[in-house]
Amino acid sequence: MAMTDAASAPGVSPSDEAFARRLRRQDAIFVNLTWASATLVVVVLLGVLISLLIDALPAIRAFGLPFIWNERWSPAKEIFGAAAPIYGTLVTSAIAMVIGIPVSFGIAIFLTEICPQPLRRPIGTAIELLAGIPSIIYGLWGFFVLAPIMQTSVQPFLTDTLGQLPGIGILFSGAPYGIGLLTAGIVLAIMILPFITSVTRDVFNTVPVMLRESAYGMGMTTWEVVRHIIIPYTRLGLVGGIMLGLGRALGETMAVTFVIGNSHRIAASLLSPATTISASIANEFAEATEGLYTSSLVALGLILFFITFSVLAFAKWLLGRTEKF
Amino acid sequence: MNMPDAQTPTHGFELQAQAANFVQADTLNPVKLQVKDLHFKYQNGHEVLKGVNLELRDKTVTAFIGPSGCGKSTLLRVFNRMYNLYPGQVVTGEVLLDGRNILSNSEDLNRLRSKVGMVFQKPTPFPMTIYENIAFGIRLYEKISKAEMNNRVESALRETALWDEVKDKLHQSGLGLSGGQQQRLCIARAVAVKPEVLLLDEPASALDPISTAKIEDLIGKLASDYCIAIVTHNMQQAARTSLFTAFMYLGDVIEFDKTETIFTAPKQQRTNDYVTGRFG
Amino acid sequence: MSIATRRYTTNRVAIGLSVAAAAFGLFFLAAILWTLFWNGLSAMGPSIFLKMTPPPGSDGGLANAIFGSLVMTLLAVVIATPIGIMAGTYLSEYSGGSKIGEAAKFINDVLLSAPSIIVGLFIYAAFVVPFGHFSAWSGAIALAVIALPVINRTTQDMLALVPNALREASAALGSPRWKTMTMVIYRSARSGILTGVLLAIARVSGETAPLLFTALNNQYWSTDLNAPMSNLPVVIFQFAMSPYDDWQRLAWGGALIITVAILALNIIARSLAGRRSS
Repeated sequence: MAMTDAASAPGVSPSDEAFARRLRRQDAIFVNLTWASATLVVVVLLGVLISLLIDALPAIRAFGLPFIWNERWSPAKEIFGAAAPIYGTLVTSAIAMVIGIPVSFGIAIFLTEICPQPLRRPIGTAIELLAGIPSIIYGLWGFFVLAPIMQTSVQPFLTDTLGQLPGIGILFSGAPYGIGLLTAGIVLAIMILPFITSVTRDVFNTVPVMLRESAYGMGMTTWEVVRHIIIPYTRLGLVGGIMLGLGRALGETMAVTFVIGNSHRIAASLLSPATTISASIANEFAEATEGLYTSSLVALGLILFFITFSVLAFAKWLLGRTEKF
Repeated sequence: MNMPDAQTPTHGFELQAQAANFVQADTLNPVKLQVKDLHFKYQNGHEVLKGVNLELRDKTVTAFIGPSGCGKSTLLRVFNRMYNLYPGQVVTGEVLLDGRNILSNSEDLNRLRSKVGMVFQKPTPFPMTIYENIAFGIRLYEKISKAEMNNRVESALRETALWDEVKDKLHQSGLGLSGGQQQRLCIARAVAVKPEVLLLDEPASALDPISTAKIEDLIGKLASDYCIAIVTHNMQQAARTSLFTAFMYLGDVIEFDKTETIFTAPKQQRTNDYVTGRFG
Repeated sequence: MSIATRRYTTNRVAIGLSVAAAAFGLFFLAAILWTLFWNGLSAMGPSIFLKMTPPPGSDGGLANAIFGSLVMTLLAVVIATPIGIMAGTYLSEYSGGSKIGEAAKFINDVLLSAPSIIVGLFIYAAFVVPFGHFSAWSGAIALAVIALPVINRTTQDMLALVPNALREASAALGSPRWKTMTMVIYRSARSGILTGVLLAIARVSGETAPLLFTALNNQYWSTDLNAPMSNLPVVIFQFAMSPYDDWQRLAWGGALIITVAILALNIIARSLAGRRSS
């Protein structure tokens, strides 16, 4: 409301005028306060980006672009390369997605189409509540419960079966440590399960009841309704939800740090210890005293920031498009 | 097309016609609000009002009728400059309130709106107690004692015939009232700040017939104190409540006259078609 | 095989797989909760709330860590709530679909799901390094940075649900905009915004990564906001990774305390949101 001074208006007493000015001033103060707060959010994001850039600069200067594909990580010799953590981050997230997506979809389909009505709300609510549990709980469980099981039964079993196959056998070879890429991927999968499930269920519920009912009215089976009506209708939303889940998996720290093994070596086998970007930072940042060591860890953070940023931007773009339909 | 049969008016028209007979042209109240060549345009070029001229008299009800999209609600929202809440609208012309152009840039909108009250289509009670709903507006511009405030709240509720229904639950939420009561609370809230003009934008269209009748009674009572403009889709309502009626079509005022004339002997064919239900 | 038989068989197989997936997923989630309660309850007792974190091999509790978590979470919420609500107000009420407003909303959503360890790195660079020491303040600010976008986003969503008629009705009385917001619109969106704040508390109270190199940890009871402060998530992390049985038991106890607190907050938030919609 841009207004010029009202002193010239006839029929307005001076006290009225002063009062009106005070109201306008209060309005301006309020708007400016809200504007400053909104700006602060933007400033925080810029601050994150700038501080990461500044602190990563020594590492960028020292190693240049090859930092990204160099596997060597040697604090003693001050040689650092990001290949192993990047590889670990991508592989654990991929495993999490491969396991997490079908299971989440299964649960979501179960909840919207199959589950008896009285059970839908309680199970749905329980899953949403589980989505709020901090990731460190999943990490604890992975460390104390899953890793021993992996070591004593699952990994030896995989080595004896899949490990014997030509080609993919190499993925399941080596000594069973319990911890490693596969275990971290499974813990991540379980962690993102409630999240992707509740997003998926929400998108499934956006299908108009009329559409669903007319499909059933034509004599379609449950699976056909899901396959030909619900999934095509919600396609973009589903991919958006998956991308949000992927964003979480990529950036997750605590669920992974417990069970990854913190080894800066790229091994072919999924059973071997590895590291991820966030796990490297969590494990090593407090101990890193040398400038270049710290800087390299921050450079890892910068890479993680760019990876998650692109995934989130893509997810947001997809989800934004569904809202328009 | 035939002229309507003036000898057999509907029941509502007859009452209005009788009431209007008491008003002679020379006893009309002075002009309160004068509209001169008012244009209202969106920035995309769509013109909603195309040069409106008319005047509203003090202590008189003026009704605005016309098919949807004719600009009658927009016209009402110019009178308190409600359109200023949203960007991208261009208004030219003059709207004189007691001779002062309220469209001027120097107009203080808050002060203007405290003088030109408005009641909306759907009841809009604030999420606070019945008492606070009414006290809220008064406190904006007046510093008065608790006792005086109690009096003001009571008189506003009495003025809108709501007092007896709510006097025992003044400190309960206004959201707990029925739709009709909520709407009368909104009218009470609007009159509590002692406005000079009252704008009613289809005030009864969301209500049941009994509540509608109560609102219409109320408008009749308020007419002796305020300059009232009412937008309505219901032609009987216009006939029952107003002294003057403006028929609008596609952004123009087609005809503006005594209500009696509009409904019984309109001069324009379009007006005739509309009030006889041939279109719209 | 007739078409009908094939269709019904496919349907049965698909439903079977879906139910199996649901059973599989729910089994693991239940297994985690069961482990948590089994191990956590065995660590429960008055001493976990009353005694300090012990050196390995001796008796102790988590009193200082619980206190530290409460203090830092509270500070974070006190910082983030007014800023988040104001920012959400601007983006919902004043930016009016402008390009800059949309960009700010997008940036907030990015911050909402940015990896929390990166927030930790940022606060380390912005507060820990300049002041030369780890502190409860920097931990609280890191948590505030995580809570801020949650509150901002919920405020935007909740204000968007308030009908425009209410804004117009208030303006029609001659109310200036800031009074319309504070007296009418916030009241109308109150339970929704409160839900957002509760969800933000739930979110930050379990965050570990951003505290690792901001608040660090402290073996002792400390009320000094300028010194490192103990907190549950970091203690859980350190104790769980240790080889000592009694430390590991305390880690499970701490995990149970956090989880129960977060579940309670979520349930309260949901019941608030439910009351609004009914």
